[in-house]
Amino acid sequence: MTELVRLEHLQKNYGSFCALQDVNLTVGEGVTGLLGPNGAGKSTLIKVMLGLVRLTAGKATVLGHDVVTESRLIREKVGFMPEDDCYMHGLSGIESVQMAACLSCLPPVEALRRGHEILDFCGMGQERYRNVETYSTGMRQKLRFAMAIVHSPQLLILDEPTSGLDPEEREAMLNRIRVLSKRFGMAIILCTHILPDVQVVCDSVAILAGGAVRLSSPLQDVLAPSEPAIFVQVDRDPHLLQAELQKLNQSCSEIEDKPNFVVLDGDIQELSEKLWQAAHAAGVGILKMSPALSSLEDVFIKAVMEDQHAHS
Amino acid sequence: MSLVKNLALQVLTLLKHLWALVCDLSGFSRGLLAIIRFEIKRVTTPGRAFWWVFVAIFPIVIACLLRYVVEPQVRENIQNAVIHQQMMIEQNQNQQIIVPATSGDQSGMGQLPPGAQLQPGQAQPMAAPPPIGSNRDQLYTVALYLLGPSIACMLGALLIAAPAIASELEQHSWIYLATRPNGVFFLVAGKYIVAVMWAFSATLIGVTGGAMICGQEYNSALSIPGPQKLQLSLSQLNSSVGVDDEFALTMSVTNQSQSAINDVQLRVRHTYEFKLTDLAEKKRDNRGSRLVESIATLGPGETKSVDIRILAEKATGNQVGRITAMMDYPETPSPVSVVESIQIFKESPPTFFWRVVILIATAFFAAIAYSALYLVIGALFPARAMVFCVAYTIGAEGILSMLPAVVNRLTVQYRLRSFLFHHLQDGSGVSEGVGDALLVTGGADQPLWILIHAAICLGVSLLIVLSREFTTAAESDV
Repeated sequence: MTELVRLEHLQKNYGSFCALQDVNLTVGEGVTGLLGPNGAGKSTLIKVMLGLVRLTAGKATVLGHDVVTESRLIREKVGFMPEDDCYMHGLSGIESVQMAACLSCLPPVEALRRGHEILDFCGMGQERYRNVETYSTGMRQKLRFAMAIVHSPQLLILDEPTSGLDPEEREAMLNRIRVLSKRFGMAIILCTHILPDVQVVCDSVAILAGGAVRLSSPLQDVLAPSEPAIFVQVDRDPHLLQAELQKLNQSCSEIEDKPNFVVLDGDIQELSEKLWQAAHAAGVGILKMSPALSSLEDVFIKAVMEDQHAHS
Repeated sequence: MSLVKNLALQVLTLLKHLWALVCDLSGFSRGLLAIIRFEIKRVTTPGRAFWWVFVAIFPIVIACLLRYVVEPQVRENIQNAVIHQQMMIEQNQNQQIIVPATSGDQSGMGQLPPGAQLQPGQAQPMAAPPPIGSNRDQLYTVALYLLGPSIACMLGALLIAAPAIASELEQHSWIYLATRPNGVFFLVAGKYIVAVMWAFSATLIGVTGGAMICGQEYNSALSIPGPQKLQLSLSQLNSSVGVDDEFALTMSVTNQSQSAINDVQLRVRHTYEFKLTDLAEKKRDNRGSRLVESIATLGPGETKSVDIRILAEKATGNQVGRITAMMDYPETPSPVSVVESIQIFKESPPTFFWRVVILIATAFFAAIAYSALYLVIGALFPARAMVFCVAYTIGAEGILSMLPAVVNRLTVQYRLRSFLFHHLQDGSGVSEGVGDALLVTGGADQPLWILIHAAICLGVSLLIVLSREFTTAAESDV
């Protein structure tokens, strides 16, 4: 995996307050979810990556450039969508995007062309000609996204890109993130509180709590349960299947809120033969069979609790 | 040690930024133009446009008040003083008079204190009436300087440059600009240029409009309505006079009455810089004047002209000296004196156009200096930029600049005053007396000082914004 961001023993103090302590993190290609409760140090970490704050200790490189001495080069290659509801007063949507492109040293005409292209990609219609002060939250979100990607950055940092969006817009935004990552090969760091978003688009995840990285690994590994299990969806009463499985000495349990689902403890390779046998005996059709995954929420809470225990 | 290291690192980073910009001039110009272009759009909102119009109109309105309300009153007061003087001289011919306790030197007889006693025949006309034309222009020049570069331009720069950083922090758009390759540099430079343009354009309108309203009266002496039947005029043939130059003045007298006037005496008085070549042998009278010509009879409508040859022996600044022409003629019940005065210049006196050009140039330098100054204060104290800028303006530019000490040279006001004084140091611009009152020493290097001052302020602003960590909490505080 290509290392795009490498943080080593990073420490950042604001006066006597330690915002980041001994942060070691590597971010590769694809979409990386950066999770953490409020005050975990996510914003500071982003500012460190963008060279906006000075490091107290440690070393950080982004796209191979040192954040202290080569911040200008980093900013040329990185796009950032901030969380705050910020916009350029007095400008229309297209002018804001054009200005962002011009600041990245694109010629004005090219900047305008890129601006329209990006706003089309973001699903913004004629409202791009309106003053940004008149925009709704969703439109401002799209505008911020457009301003972040107008100069085609290699690394895109998104801070809460889906907050305040309705479900339809949220889905569209996640789609855009997927497209940028999969089709255009853009590396993305997604900083969010909305865990289902991370589960949907991220390839890896890092959890930050109390100014330190509590967990960093591919999402697949994070969600893998400690004991292997299988989720099975059946077409009729699962009790029939449950009874047949018990005859074969295989434990099986139902899932609350999901009437046609059962969970079998064990590896899918080993259990498939028993499962098909029991289903045939019970006369139950199997609609879906997949390895059971841990909930990201559980993982997140566990990581944050570790921090709280450490503090207590 | 850590602070020094950080500062050195920031200076190094700034230099690297600047070098990168120099290497990529097209990118640099594009980024800078983008900020300027969009910033201009942002400062042309109705609210900002209102302030621009206010700053532009403010000097014009005050100039109108001075020109059409104050000036007529001053003229009337001067006329009354002259008439009063003549009446007292007539009264004093035969009797003792006491200067009224309330009028003081308004009696027109020099600097007599109230209550002074004058024996019969002791009252004499004032040595020389005030050169009203040039004094008027001088007053308006100083007034326009105070209204334009000093106040309007300062206010314009304050409104745009002071909140330049704070407004971006307040709108949370700072982060957008800071995360662009040279965003912070473009922001500071672009906002500075727009602030200069905004303040200067408003002051340009104000100063030009004000100057056009005030006009120029140089050498068009005040016409004093009175009982005179004879009109005296004095004209200079050479436009400029150098040291050791001999030049001529033409003294003309016209009888405006319907009857002949007898026994008219033309006299002339001059300052020590001159030698009246062809009148050197003539003795001075008790008023310090020499007799030029005695005209036995001047018929109705008749004009008599006399040329006087004068040698200029010394010069001070642009001024050489003043020639005062006097005319005495008998009128019942007492003789009447008419006095006319002319200022001689080493070089041609500045034209109205030149005066306006210098005022505009002063406004331009004021915009450059104040915008940079307020930008650095705004970068240092983004949370209360306006308050600190106003405090600095009152403390340093208002009080410190008027202290008679070397420390006043650190202020922008001192540099601007010196620039103005240096280029308008003559009778119709700003006289030496006014220069002394404004504590200036003159000097052609003032623009250089102002540019150095602006460059230092801009450099410091850049260093501050590049090195400062604007945290989310700090952004919220603004």
